[in-house]
Amino acid sequence: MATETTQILARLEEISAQVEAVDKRVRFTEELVEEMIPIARLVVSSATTRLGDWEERGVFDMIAVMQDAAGRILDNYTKDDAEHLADAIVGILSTVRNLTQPGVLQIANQATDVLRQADGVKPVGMFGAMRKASSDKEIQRGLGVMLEIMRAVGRTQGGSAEGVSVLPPALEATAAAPAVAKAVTPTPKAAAPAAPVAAAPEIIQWEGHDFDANGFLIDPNTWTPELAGKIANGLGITLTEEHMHVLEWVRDDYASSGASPNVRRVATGSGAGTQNMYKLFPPTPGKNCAMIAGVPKPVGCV
Amino acid sequence: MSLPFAQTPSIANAEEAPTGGLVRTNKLALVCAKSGLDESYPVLIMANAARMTGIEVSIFFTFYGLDVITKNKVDKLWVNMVGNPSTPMPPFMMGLPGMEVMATSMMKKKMSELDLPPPREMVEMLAASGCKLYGCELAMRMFDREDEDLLPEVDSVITATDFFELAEGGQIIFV
Repeated sequence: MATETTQILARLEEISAQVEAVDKRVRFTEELVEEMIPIARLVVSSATTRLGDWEERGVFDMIAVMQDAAGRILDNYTKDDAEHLADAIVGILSTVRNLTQPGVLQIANQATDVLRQADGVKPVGMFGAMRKASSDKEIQRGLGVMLEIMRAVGRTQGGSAEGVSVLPPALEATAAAPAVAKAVTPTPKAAAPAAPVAAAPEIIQWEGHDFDANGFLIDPNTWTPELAGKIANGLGITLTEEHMHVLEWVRDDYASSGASPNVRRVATGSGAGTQNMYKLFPPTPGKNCAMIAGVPKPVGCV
Repeated sequence: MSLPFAQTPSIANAEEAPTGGLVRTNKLALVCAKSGLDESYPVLIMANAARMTGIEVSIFFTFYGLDVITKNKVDKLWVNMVGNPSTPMPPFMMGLPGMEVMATSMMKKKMSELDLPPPREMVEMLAASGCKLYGCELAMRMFDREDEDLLPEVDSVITATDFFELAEGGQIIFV
């Protein structure tokens, strides 16, 4: 029995110690609250006045609008767009710098001045505009500038953006790679299909002479009778006295008139006759004759 | 010895010519059925151009087209105004006297300025270039014409069926 009593007593002592600790903590809290209340009052009253002030100034409205705008931006732009923007930022900055050059700003200033005074301007019809454009030097210069701008716009729209890039040349190379990778419509030049024979004005070297892609001698002055024989052989023709007579006539006519004679002119002028022309230079008398004579391809269809 | 550049595709090398997948025409059969200066000149010019490109050409002159190879008609080919939808002239003026003469002389003047020979010379040139010229047998009877009435350059007078047999394998174009 005695042991039980001592146990209970010990327990009570323990509990009383705990109660004391709790009491102490409560007292601390009370003190803290007492100390905090004036400060809190001060802060809250200050904050409410500040917030009221802000509300009066429309800050909340603006924040609400900004949140809305941010939401819209997030709706309309994807992560790719943001990356693209990062790529383009150098270009954007460069454009802004160009736009803020003093000369450009002056033009903008003057334009706004004119717009401010636009009430006094009389309406101008079609013919009035033409008359002004034909007499007023300043309008003419302005039109010239506008046309240049239009050309630049057209060039970018057409896909060949050469010369109108907004990037400084040094940055061009770095920006070019992502731009090409992300472009949808313009295909890289390397991927274009092989050009047909007549497309490129390429020069072909043969027997020490320059020929165009169609086989015509580029410089008629480098022609020799030996070369004529070689070309004729290539075309399956063996030159005779008769051929040489026609060729000499063609070369003389080219030298005097500055243009390649057509078949009819050669046939009547050299005395060979149409029928002989087809016999001498088969199967295309105009083309083959000019080719062997070392003059350009004749124009015309007779 | 072969030349290093691409040759104009011709009858001789039609197979290996780089024509971009197109089958090249090497035989052409033109049908000339009208005698107006503006309607028959194109036939002659096209035929000549085809010959100069190495294409085998034959022309069949039928109905009023027969005038182009008729001795006393070939130099009197006119630009027919009435019913011609291609002229820039307003219709009420077309029928006025002298209009056709004026239009014809204007076209002839332009042609000679462009160094295009008159129809008779064009026909001679075509015959010399190897183009075959045929008259239509039915049209000959229709207009009461004899072989002597035709230009000496005409190869022969044949029927339409003969012509189609001759034109076999070629492109036939009705002008």
